[in-house]
Amino acid sequence: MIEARNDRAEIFARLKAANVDRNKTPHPGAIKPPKRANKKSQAKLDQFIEAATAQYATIDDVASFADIPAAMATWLRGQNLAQDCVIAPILSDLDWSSQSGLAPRFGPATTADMVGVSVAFAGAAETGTVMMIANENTPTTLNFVPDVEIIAISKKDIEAGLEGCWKQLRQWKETNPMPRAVNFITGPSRTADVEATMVLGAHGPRRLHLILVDEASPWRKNP
Amino acid sequence: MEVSSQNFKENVHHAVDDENLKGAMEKLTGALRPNRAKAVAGLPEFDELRDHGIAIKMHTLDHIDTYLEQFEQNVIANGGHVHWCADEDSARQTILDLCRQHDVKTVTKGKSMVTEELGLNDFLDQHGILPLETDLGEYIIQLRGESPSHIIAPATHLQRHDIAQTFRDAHQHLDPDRPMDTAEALTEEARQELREKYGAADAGITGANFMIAETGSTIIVTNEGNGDLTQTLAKTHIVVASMEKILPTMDDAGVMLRLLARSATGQDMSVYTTLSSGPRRPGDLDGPDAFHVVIVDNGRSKMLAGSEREMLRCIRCSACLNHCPVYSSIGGHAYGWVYSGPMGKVLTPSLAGLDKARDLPNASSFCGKCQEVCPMRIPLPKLMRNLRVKQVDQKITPLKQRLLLSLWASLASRPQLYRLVTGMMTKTLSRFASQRRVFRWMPFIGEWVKSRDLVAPEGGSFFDRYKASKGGDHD
Repeated sequence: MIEARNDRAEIFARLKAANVDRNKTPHPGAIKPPKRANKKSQAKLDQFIEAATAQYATIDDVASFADIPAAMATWLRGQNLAQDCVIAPILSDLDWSSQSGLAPRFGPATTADMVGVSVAFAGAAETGTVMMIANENTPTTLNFVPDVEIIAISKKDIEAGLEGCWKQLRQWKETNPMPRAVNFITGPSRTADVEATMVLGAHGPRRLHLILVDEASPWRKNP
Repeated sequence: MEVSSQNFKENVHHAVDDENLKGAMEKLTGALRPNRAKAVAGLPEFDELRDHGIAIKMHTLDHIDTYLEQFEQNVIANGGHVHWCADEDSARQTILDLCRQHDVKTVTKGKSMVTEELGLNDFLDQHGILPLETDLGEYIIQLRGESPSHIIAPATHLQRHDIAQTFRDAHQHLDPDRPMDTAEALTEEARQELREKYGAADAGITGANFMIAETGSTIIVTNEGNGDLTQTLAKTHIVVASMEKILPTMDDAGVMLRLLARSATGQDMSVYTTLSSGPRRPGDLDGPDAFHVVIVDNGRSKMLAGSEREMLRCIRCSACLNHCPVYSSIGGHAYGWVYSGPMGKVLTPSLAGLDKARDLPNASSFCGKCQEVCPMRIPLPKLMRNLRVKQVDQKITPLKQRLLLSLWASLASRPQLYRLVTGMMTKTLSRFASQRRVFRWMPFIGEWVKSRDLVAPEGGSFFDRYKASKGGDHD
């Protein structure tokens, strides 16, 4: 490995010197989550749906993960979208062959893929946000490369606010390494770089379709 | 990036006469001001969150060495590398060395103000590495050979027809008669142009909105998704971050994220918030093979030790720009460096040198709006005032101005003399005023009275009237 000039010692000496005679401010501790990030059960679920919809996500609702292939096939047909999709390996156990129209492939996404499917690790009702973590069963490219992104999330994994998501991640880290990527996603990609006019589908997915599932997610079943 | 803040006055003259710029600025402030107001109103605890956020920042700055060290250890534990760079030369060289080490020929880039500060694109270009900006605004200005005019909306000085022309010139392989008159069409064209570039790049360079010591993660916040495509599809991910972006924990980042999105674009949460913690793990199906974080000082440790320390709380939301009457009249380019608006008036002199930016802290009416909307409550007017004092002390202020200021100081500190002179001035001005009682001409401040009304004084000085009213005769 080529060693560039290393300024580490110099920088730390300066930082220490700048702080040497200061009264140190204590850390303020954890915040009390805002009221809007403190909802329970049905109110929390309603808030998640309302917030995600306000951010241009569409919502479907099914009882179990096994219902996902059928729900997806119906939705894709209704949207007049191709039935080719690239799916996170975490969902490979589902009976995809039950939907004759669907052409599933498992793995990471390429720019040729129109529809990507994955499973959220958690969600935040406060903002209608889903939290994705990367590993061999949930490649990150599924979240960003295809034109249409479908994400399944168990209702049990929807937290009131961001604080709950961090808690879930800390719990995960107790038995797993820190995931390479953690993606919080709130609605489809957009930009306002042309005359401050909002346009959906800047570089990431043009659409985000969320499938809410009553059943516990595979993340929690076999961690 | 070369500092041209010395030409501020000249730049302002061009900017205020630029009708196209005026139209563009109206569109920006017309969208972002009400958006922020609405988002803040939707979170009654916003002010409490601000105070909490400020306390986190103050604590972190007081212990910055400890948290940076913890961050470094965790990045290494995650399989990444950390590089420390004292100044821009060191940072540029380090990034170039990393590119050579990984045999990098092409680079995609997510929006990063610190790489603008380093002038990284030109430097890489000169050394045979092709950088490609992928944020829509950054892509547009890169094609035009311009610098960003706003920290989160880099092409905000342009209107649709400007961008259409830029694309027409740059994308000559496309049908010249294609419709390009909507924001949708222009966004789509950039999407298609950039789509295959992410995977073809050898390295992806992004900035960082925050770094988390607890997990060794860097965070980017975007709406477009270009930053994530940049860092996921390239073989090597290089993060360039200035060191004050460090935060202790994930929960601290949560507080900052709530403040940032609302203050910046008026969103409750930006579309994509991503924590990056190292290279792809064994078994991972995608993600970069190598992960480097280049931590840049470039003047920050000097600020930490000096009177501009509070400026290090800045989270680069741009609320101060969007609400500034000066920024919205002249746009970002007039300021002559990467950072513009009120935050630029403090950052540019602090980082690039007061001698190179002496006009910036003076170009303020001190209306105080910047401090009012700042999520970190940075006392920007106070910091600008400090810089004004500094430049007089360091004799950076021109001699004529300094003489006038000393004259004023000696007058203002002698009450008798002050009353005599101001009393005489009031009478003189009153006598020479026209029938309309408004001055259209005045020595030394001709430009000022040309566009504003200087009303002739009536009925004695404030002190005369105060004295007359003393003894209970209030009217």
